Amino acid sequence: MSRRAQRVLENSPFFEGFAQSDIAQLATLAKFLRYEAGQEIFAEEELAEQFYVLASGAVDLSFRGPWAADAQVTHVQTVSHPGYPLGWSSMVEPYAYRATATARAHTRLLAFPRDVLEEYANKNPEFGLALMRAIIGLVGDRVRAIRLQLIARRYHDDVTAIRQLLRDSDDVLPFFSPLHKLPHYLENRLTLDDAFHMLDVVRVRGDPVERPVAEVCVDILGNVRRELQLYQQLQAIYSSVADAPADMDP
Amino acid sequence: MADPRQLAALSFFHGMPERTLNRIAQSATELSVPAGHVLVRQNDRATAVFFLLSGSVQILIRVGSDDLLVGVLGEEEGQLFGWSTFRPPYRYTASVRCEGPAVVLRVPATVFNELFEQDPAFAYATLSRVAVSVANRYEDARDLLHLPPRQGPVDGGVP
Repeated sequence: MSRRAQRVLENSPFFEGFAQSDIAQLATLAKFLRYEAGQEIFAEEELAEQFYVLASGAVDLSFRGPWAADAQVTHVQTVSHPGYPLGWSSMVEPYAYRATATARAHTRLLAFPRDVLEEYANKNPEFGLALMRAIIGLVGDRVRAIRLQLIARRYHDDVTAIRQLLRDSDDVLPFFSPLHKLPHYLENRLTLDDAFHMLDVVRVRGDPVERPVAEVCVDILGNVRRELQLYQQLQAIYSSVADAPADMDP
Repeated sequence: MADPRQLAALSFFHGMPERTLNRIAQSATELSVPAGHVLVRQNDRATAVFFLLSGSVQILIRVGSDDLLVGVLGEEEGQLFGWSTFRPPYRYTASVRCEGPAVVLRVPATVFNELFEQDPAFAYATLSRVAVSVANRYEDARDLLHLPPRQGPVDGGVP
């Protein structure tokens, strides 16, 4: 089992740059957990005792706002690619989950108890340093994503937010990065599909600079993607009706 | 040079060895700045981290020619800003401007890098504290997202 766990960790962008010996050791400390669609993995404000890495499936993250009298829930992110970490609050004081995680489909996670990770980090501070750098990077990307969502809301325009993100990343993104094409793809409904295809490829196969930028773009464009999927479903229904034989039963 | 006792009083530095505090204090500078002073500019190379000693500061994101307010720090003493100093690509992700007169402590990134190299255990402990600040910024921004449109500070953007 630890061989399978090691493969998940080796393919995780979060653990890129960690010593191979640490990854091998971490794999022995983790256990696989399974969740069915709709099952809660952890709840906001609950004591955060496990750090997770997605092995397969998909997880929705949501939170309740402090001003919502009606306990309104806001969806923040869907995590769907293997290797993505969940429950980073387990490694950050005050060790309370800052979101609720729910399996969106049949999902497998690698789970690390907090005390075990902390003990390993204390004994191997080089690992602890790498872990905290990775967590700061991850949470920093989340801060950036949320701020861009605020911009998108302020301007009622996702493309403005994306342009802002790319401008901010301009001197670190490779010159030939396909991400530079994104604002152009987003301007026309006919090329929206190309935009999401490109983002899906870059968030998995891009370089270490491109991947988090693509991830943030996917977050910002969550509603656009859902609208596109609905539009494509309607289009498929329309096509099947239009192409049906005239004598077919309704 | 800052006073090491002043550093020791800030929660971020609690429990740090005296030798380490002295080394940080040696490179740190206390700055008294007027209202409107910009301490950190978005996209500039992140060369220093700041601790707010008094006053309050606004966190601003530039979009075109607008500066949008995405947060305010100042309720508690010693709040950290400029955390991009600790993460690639080491560029500030937002600008920080003083709301009124403020006093801050500026610590160059080089001092932390030097100490991190000497002592990975100190690096791990320090970055764990930085992570708390970044997580708090995350929660602040996320709470704004939850506000109904036209009530959050973003919609009351600074011109």
